[in-house]
Amino acid sequence: MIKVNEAGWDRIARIVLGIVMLVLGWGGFVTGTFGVILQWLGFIPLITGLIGWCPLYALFRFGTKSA
Amino acid sequence: MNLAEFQARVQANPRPVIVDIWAPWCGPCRTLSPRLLQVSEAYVGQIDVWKINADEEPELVRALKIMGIPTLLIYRDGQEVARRTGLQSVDALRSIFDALLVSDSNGAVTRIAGLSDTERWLRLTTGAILAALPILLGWSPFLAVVGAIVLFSGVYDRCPLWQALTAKLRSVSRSV
Repeated sequence: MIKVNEAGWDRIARIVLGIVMLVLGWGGFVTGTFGVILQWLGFIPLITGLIGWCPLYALFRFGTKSA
Repeated sequence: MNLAEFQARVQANPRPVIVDIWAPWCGPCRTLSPRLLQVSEAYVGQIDVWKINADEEPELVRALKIMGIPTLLIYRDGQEVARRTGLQSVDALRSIFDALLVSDSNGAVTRIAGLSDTERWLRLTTGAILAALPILLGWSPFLAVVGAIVLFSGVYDRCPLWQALTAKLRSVSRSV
């Protein structure tokens, strides 16, 4: 079972960032290579925000969620 | 037994507790009881099962805000983490017992009680945005599919079809 290591504000910020990146990429607002990067990279903040767990935080034993 | 005495007993108990609120005249209670006994035999010494006859303890039942029977009150570390009202299948009971033994307290609560309101709200809002935008604005349907999956992840714990499917898969994986 994954242990949540992100605070509420962190999760919301990631979800908003993910949605913005996906909208820019998939909506055609940004085209070319950068657009394709946004289309796929947007899923990273979105998914980590939705599940509340960041693998990089876990790797460095860091977290925004207070114990 | 009054509410304070009951809570003191739960908090003093070193193991998780499942409390079965039942009554002799209640048909579903009589069906649930042997199922609970059958499942609990595999967890002796790890999880305690207590039974409270609602007819003998009406004050306590009222204080615990029990709306119907049978009701299972599920306690871990002295705190109520979930309650289930109505007849439960053997697989559903096993899931509750298994989840109570998960070492991570938050994980145990999520597995028994389902998603918290905040979690559900986050998933439903995100899923709705991701599903609606491509449909309304004619973007790639891929994003709408992702939105639909996120939307479903916000209600999966309340979907009877999903519960039946996962219970079946669990029982198949146990028998293999």
